[in-house]
Amino acid sequence: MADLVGFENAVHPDLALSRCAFCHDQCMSASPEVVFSGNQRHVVSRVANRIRRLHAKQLAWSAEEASALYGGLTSGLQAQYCIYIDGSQRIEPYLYAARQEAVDHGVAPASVATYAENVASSGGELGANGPLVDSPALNAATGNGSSVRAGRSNPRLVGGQAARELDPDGWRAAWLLLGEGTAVVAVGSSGYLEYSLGLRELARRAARAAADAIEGAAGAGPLVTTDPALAFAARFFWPHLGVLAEYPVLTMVEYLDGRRSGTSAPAPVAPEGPGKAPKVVTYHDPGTLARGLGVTDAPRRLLVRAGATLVEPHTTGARAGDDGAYPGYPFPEIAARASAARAEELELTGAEVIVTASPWALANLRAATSLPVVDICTFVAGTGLAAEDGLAAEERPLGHG
Amino acid sequence: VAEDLVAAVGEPYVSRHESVLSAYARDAYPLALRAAGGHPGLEVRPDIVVRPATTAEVVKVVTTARRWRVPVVPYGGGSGICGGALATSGGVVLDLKRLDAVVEMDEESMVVTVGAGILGGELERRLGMHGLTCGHYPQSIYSSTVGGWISHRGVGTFSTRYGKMDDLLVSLEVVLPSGDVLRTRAVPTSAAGPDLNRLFLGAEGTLGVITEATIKMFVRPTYRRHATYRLDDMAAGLSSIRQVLQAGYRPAVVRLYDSVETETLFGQVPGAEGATTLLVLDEGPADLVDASLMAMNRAVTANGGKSLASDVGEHWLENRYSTVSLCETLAKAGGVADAIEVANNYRMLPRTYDAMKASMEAVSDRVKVYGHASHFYHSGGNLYMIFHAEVNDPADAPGLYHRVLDAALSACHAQQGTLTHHHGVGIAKARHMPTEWGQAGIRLWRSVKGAVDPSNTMNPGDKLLLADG
Repeated sequence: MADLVGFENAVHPDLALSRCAFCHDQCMSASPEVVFSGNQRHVVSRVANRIRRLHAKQLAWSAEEASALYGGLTSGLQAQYCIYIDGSQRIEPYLYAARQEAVDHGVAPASVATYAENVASSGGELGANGPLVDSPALNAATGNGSSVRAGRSNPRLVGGQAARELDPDGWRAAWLLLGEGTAVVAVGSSGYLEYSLGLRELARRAARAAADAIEGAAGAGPLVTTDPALAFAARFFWPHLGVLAEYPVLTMVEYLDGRRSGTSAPAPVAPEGPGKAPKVVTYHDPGTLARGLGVTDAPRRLLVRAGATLVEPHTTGARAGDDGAYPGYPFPEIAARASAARAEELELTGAEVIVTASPWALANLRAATSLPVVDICTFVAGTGLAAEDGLAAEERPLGHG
Repeated sequence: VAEDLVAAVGEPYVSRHESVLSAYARDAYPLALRAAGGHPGLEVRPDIVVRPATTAEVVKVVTTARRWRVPVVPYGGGSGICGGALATSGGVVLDLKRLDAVVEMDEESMVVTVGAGILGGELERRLGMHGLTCGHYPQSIYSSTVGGWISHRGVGTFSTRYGKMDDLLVSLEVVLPSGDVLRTRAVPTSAAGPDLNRLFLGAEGTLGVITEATIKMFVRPTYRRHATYRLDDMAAGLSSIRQVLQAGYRPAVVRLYDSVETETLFGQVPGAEGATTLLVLDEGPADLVDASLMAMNRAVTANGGKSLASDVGEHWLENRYSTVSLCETLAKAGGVADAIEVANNYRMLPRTYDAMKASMEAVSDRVKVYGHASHFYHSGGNLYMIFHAEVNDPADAPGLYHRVLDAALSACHAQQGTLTHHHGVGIAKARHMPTEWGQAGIRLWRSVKGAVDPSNTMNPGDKLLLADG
């Protein structure tokens, strides 16, 4: 398990396994597997202890041992409660490395193996059992394949299968917000899930393919995505896989907010008129955006600017509750309970609409609530904010990050 | 036994696999935590772990265990630091965390009925969605359960306002060793004989399994203030606190740190160096909060204290659940540490502090001792005596731990104090219980235990009251 040690040193030198094993478990209530299954074996300190013993060959690899490594919904919520690190650090790297060991030993959960097979055959990160199909209608709607603006400052919209297929509305809204003619870069997978599930070689292939697609795409402007998992993977996973992106990948929230922070003008008055009435909105912080990328204030600024009356759920920002899980996660019944719990929390705000900023979160919440759930791009575009705020492509800065 | 347990709760919820058993091989008892991490300590192992989801399933588990005369150890979050949830005699560990329902929220009576296995963090999340709180914030809130709070007579950091679990508990549902289910009435008080709730408060799972509880809840306060003072010594601080409490004020948080802990926690605060520090924080209706802080200010000034202009209160609020210093010491191969919490009346508290500190430090010059007092009542309060030590040979660490603990508890008893304020007894303090209760008390308890649990299957072993004799 030399890779595990290297991983700790490279990614997280402050969080040695030995420290995690000696802990009073303050992250327990942030572990969905413990909260929703009641099983103590999912407590992080217990997992850390078993990894240590596996490392020392005091335990043998088995399917039972391996399955416990797949707790935590890979969301980073536990790190927010860790007594050893601050919330900007992540607790998962050694879990990822240990999961890779489980995969190498052939004892990873069946859901992981199935996901790997499907990703390998489809090239898409949803792990759909079949070839990735780009929707002709969606391509037409976003101008994919047609003539595009390709200036140095023009942003390019990049998305994997999740961005395009889990939330086509959000994808199209983002494209409209960026301006018709914005170049679209469609990739199969960011490698985020593959990497977090311990499928490192698959992740490397996905990252390489995505980087190649970006390099071969028209234009040289900043890359913007509706999927924070893609932005996170490009910034933090790809370098570990030997894949360097030519440009940072920004989330739409960062991009739109970055433009605002570049102006000294006061925020515009909320749009009025038919179809633009302000709504009571609650915002769900996706884990990869809030905890992974540290973006929590920007989406709220955007919503308020768009005329929304924002009502907050009980848990917000980096400590927002999990919305559920990604494909390959081996405990679907726990994921369903997590989604339901988060949906209830959001519903109790009294909001008319749930807004989020991740296609994965959107899909999870839609499955758990009867309230409308929309991507922040869909909401903002629907208010007409972009046009009234003069978000013309030529005026946009190169972005940041 | 395993077959019967599978029949009782279903195969997925009965496990004998190492990955599960090892997860229940420790709670937060320092020597068990060390052993689980690979250092010399206390190694225990349950034989089977069972995770029922209903009271009816708990009944089946308990009666199965009685039939086979197998020990049953109730287990919540495993946060207890006295070893009360350790399967020291093997047997069945009964994890209650699947009993996690919020059964009823009565916003008129302001009580909530919950499954005993709900984690504190999850309970607060569920109440918080409705603008409510349980008012009970132990340092272990994210890793402990309501059943554990009751079984160990726990306390939260805001206890001077909201009370201990003794005060917060309204009613209980308990599966008795016989398989009978006892339900007490969810009324504010009663004179119908002795209070049966009290039989299970602090019983640490030796008399039955708590499966459901009704506890008080409160509206989440929106007004909060805090202040910090420096005083010359613990006695001056305790005198200030006593005057405020006995005048009828109940500030939510009152914490008095000795000079050593002040140096550790607030050494950077101007004016705090070398002093005893008092932190007072209150929340609730503004007029009550303002009045309690004014009262404390008057009392502290009268006892020679001075206000510290600082953000100590904010710092404490942000870090109040962290136990990092204890954990980091325990992670060292030769490291031992513990927080020993005792209680006494105001008259005896200052000398109890002095006696315990001196006795603990006398064990070895490797032992560092400091302390604070953080829960107060009309007639007295608690003391937290914290020690850290590190020895060269890791094998010597358990012995040193026991010697310091014995010295501390003996000194406390010599000052007429009680050996635990809220951590309970477990295996850590059991051998001092004859002194705590006297022989008459021990005989009474054994009579009760023998009557309720004649087969001695409920959390047996050298726990709580030397139930095995």
